[in-house]
This record gives sequence, C-alpha cells and structure tokens, in this order.
Amino acid sequence: MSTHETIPVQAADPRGMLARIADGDARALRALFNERGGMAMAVALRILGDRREAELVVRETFLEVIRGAHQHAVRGTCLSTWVAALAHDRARDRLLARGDAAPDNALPEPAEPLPLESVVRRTERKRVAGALACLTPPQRQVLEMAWYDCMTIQGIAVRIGETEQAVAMRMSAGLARLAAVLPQDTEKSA
Amino acid sequence: MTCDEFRQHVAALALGALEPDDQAECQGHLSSCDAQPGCREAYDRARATAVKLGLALPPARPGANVWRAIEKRVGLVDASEVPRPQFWRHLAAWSLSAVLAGLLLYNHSRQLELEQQLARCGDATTKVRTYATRTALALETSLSRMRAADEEVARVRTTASGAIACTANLQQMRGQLDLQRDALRLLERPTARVVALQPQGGSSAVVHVIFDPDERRGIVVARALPLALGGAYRIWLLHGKDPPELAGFLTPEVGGAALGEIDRHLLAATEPQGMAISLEALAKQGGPGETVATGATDGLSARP
Repeated sequence: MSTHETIPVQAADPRGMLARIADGDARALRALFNERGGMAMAVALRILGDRREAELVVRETFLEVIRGAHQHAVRGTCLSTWVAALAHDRARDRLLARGDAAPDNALPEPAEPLPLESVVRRTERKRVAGALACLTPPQRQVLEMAWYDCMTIQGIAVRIGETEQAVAMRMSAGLARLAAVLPQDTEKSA
Repeated sequence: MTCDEFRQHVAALALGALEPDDQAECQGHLSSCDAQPGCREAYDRARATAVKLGLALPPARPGANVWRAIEKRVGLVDASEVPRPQFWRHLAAWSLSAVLAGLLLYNHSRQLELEQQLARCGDATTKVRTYATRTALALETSLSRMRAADEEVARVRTTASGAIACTANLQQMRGQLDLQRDALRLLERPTARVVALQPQGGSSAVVHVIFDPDERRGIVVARALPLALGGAYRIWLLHGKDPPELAGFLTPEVGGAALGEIDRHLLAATEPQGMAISLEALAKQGGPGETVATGATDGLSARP
C-alpha cells in the first residue's frame, strides 16, 4: 500500500471515520493519515524545526488518534482541530523538554507539500491564512510566537520589548478577531 | 480567581502562553467554575480558534517510515486485504461483556446489601446511643435525688439528734431543778435528817445525804467533788456483810457540785436503823471502786 494512495475521506462524517478507526479499520486510519498527516507534520516541523523529531510527533499523534477515536467519535469532535491540537501539544512538549522554547532562528525546514492535498483541506488552509491576514501584524506576531514558538507572555514581552499587559491584550484581541472571522467548526461545515 | 479574571487570561491559556503558576490557577478555576455562560465554553472557543493557527500552514510530507511505524506499532491490517475474524472477535467481546456485566451486577447488589447493612447498623447505633443517653440522664437524675435525700436525712438526723440532746439536757436540767426543789422541801420536813459523809482517800469533797424516813427518800448533795474519770459517781448502799447495791448516780457540774437521789425502791426495802453510802468514781466497772466519801446513819428515824 503506497503512502501516497488517496482514499476518499468522508469529511462530512467525522464520527463515522473515528468509529471505523476505533473499530480497527486500517483503511480509515490510512485515509485520515493521508488527509491530516501533512498538516500534523507541518505543525510539528514549524515548532521543532527538526524533521526527525517532527516525524516522531506525527507518529505519536496518530497513535493517540487510535487510542482516543472511540471517545471523540462519541463527542463528535472536529477532526481537523483535534489532530492539529494533538500534534501541537506533542511538539510543544518536546520543545519544552529540550529547554529551548524560544529559538532565535527556529526556521522550519522547507515544507514539501503533499502532491494530493485535497481540495477541502486546501480551501481550509487558505481560509485560515486569510483570517490571519485580517489581524494586525503585532497581533499575528504574538499569536505565532505563543503558538509556534511556545513562548509565554513574559517571554514575548521581553523579546519584543513590550509590557506583558500589552502582549496579553494583543493576544486576546488577535484571537477574538480570528474567532470572528473563522467559523467555529470547519470540519462540520465542510 | 474570579470569572472576570479568568476571561482576561483565557486567550493566553488557550495558546499555552501563561507561566506555570498562572496556568495552574486558571485550570483550577476552570475545573470548578459553573458560571453560565461558562468559563469552560469561553476556553473551548478560544482553544478551538488557537488550534486553527496550525491549519494555515502548508502541509509537509512525513517520511514513509512514519506510516509503517504506526502500522507496526498497532498491528493494523487492511480490511480489504485480510478478512477479520469478526465472529470470534464479537463472540469474545460479548463474552467479556457478559462477564463484566455479571461482575458489575454482583458488585452492585453486594454494594447495595452492604449499604443497607451499614444503614441498619447506623440506625441501631443511633438507637443505642439515644437509649444510653436517656439512661445516663435518668441515672444522673436519680443520683441527684438520692444525694439530695441523703443530705436531707443527714440534716434531719443532725436536727433530731440535736433535738434529742437538747431535750435530754433540758429534761436533765428540769430533773435537777425538780430534785433541788425536792431537796429544799425535804429539808423543811421535821422528819428529815442530814448525814455528812466523810471524805476518803484525801478527797476534799463535801457530801451530805438528806434522809426523810417518812417518805423513804434520800438525796445526796455534794460539792468540791474531784473531776471523776467518766464524769460521774455511783451511789452505793452498803448493808453490812451483804453485797453493796447501786443506788444512783451523781454527775458533778462546774465546781464539783452534784445532786442525786437514792433509788426510792431500795430505800423502801432498807431497814431504817442502819444504812451506809459510798461514792465511787464511775470509771470502775462492777463492784465498788475508789471511794471518795462514806458515811452511815444510825437510824433513819433518828434526828441528828
């Protein structure tokens, strides 16, 4: 079975997919991996800046998906945000464990887009990117430093030379703006 | 932390941008807050938005080894390639479920039974405690009443014994007064004789006996009696060679004065021609003891 094989993902039925994964359906898990693995890899790579570690994060993320599939199938969890959150949290844990949570030049390796990114995912990515573009540069900066560089308000304030209160306000305003622009559940709306 | 304070930190919490202490405080609030609209909903919205930041990144291809590692780790088998032993798996699952359900049911019934026993024990304990408390109160009340009764009895006894003693004293005083009056009356009678007893053993006592042969009465009048051991003296009637007879008592007052009557019954049976009297201290039991004074009449009918 090829890694690049594309199996249609029933995006409109995330519960069904998670239920199949919980039931041990390899095809369903493979489909999810093909659909979300690139996103998980991108998040991990952006945070860790190391391909080998990022791949470990992706593996841990999908093993966690298998373990929690039944529970999240019952809840009706949005697959996109769940997988993204898992990848982010695993990568963040690794980064903090390394002790260099705020790398000065933590540029990710050049992303290699999957050749068969689905239209749905591509649309989603562009919508989020567009929402980020609605933020002011300072707002976007503090959100990215917090989310990707795993920095605290205190660390960000020191880094950019602002007060902690100013950073917190930018963070709250930026997130609120993003929430207003983005639909709450892109998975279910897809 | 109040809900307003939490809402100020919710964005940073969702982004993981709080210091550990602040994060712990916020999570503590989150686990206990039940406000409506809730802090939980605010956090969930912020977290879902924060997570979408990752969706803006262009996908990156993980190596082929990642999927192989996942397959190997969980032992996944493609459903289209090898049919899964659905029947046996379902049978095993149902069997396991049945066993677990049985265990659950047994444990539940056992728990109910234990809870009922515990409740019964609790009721019994409560009843015993109530009964014990009431019994203790009743006992305490009874003891208090018994103590009060004892005190009352002691008080009455004291009062009674005091009254008896007073009565005895008064009666004794009254008897002494009567005897003094009788002695004076006896002296005024023409038939009366006064016999002086002789002190014995170095005693300085002055003792006289007033006899009236007609009335067959005799009253002993003494003064300067030494303090007797036992506080009193005995009056003995002596009849020659016959054994002496106890004829009465003398109890000296301050100064050694005493007044006592000779037993009338003895005088009635005594020959009037001769009678001897002896005064002895009361300490000696039985027969005559230390004699302080003696004397004799020549005849009760004779005048001095």
